[in-house]
Amino acid sequence: MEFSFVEELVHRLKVFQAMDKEVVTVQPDQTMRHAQQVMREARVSGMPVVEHDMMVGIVTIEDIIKALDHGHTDEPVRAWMTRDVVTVEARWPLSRAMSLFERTRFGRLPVMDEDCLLAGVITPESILRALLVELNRLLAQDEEREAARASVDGGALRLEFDVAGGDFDRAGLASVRLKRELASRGIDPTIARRVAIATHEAETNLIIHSSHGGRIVADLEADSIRLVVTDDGPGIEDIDRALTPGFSTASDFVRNLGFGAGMGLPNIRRCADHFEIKSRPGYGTRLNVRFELRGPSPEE
Amino acid sequence: MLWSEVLESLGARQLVEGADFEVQSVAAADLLSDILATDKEQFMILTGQISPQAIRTALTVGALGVVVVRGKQPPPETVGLAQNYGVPLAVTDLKMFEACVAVGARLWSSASSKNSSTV
Repeated sequence: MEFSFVEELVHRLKVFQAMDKEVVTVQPDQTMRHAQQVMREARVSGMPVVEHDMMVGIVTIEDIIKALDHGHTDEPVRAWMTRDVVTVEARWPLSRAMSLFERTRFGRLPVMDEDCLLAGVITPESILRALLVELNRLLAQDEEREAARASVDGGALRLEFDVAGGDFDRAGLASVRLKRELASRGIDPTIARRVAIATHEAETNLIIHSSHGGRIVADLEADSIRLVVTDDGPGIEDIDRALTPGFSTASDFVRNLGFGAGMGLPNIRRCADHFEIKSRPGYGTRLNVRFELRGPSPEE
Repeated sequence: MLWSEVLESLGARQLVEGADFEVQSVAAADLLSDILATDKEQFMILTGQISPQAIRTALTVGALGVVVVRGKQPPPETVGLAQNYGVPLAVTDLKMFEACVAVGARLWSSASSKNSSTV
């Protein structure tokens, strides 16, 4: 049988990545009544018993009920705790902890580090939480990776983004991806910000206005960054008006999303060192933007 | 002023926490396009927008944190995005104007205590 994606995930993630590190504990000479209070306040159904940093047992709500039944709530935890504790190791894969939960039906398991000290507690809920966080992270990574095709030619980096028309959920993906790429290449943050803003605006324009989406090509060269944004329609009737701050043909729907304020092209022009726009109604628009990389360039 | 002081002055609930940082300025707008047009540095965003675009806009302009006004609850996609990129996100029940006044009062009093010159 083929390993599923989730199986792979629970094998790759380790117990320490899913455990709760803040653990409520009791000492063996504290009373069962005290243990009950701690559990009620922390809303847990069991907790490790710790003496001199060493875990010596575990006390659960069932132990407390038993002690209550016999009227022994003033007795020390030591007398009622379970000494033979099932534990998991911090370095184990999650899958191993999960099968232990399935087998034992315990609600929580103490986690031990390499020095056999209590490192945390793991529960089915904390495992679920860790899986969701990891899935989210992977999803965001995938989305970003998919957004661009990168190629390197003679030291110059090219990133190409295909932007689909009407897909507001993805607005800003190209910009965020490009900005991160520029940061990793040591580009001056103030320049990277201007490039990212221009890209964000261009991306949003394609999403709002283009008939079939468009493409953004970013070239990182030795002394400049160039953006070329193209689409195949509908084209701009009056470029001068389109460049007037506040002029917009966007719908109310788009405006409700916080875009279409008529600041896109003016903002791109503001950010860029060189700005050129060509458009023909019925054919499309081509935007050519350049940013100079002034100041000390990153060392080669 | 510190981000933690901003949150305190707004009575804001944190959805995505982060290490504390210095806030020197605020970009307050519902139009993300307006925020994309800001020149501010070391700043945070006050907005009524709760779509993931609010977070992407923050990332693009390098805003340090986002506070949503009017107690609007951002959807899980927005919170998830903020989490993944480490953008502190909070919600205040104050409306935009009241939120601006609250942060502004603190911001200017902390600025004038550091720098006694007046305008």
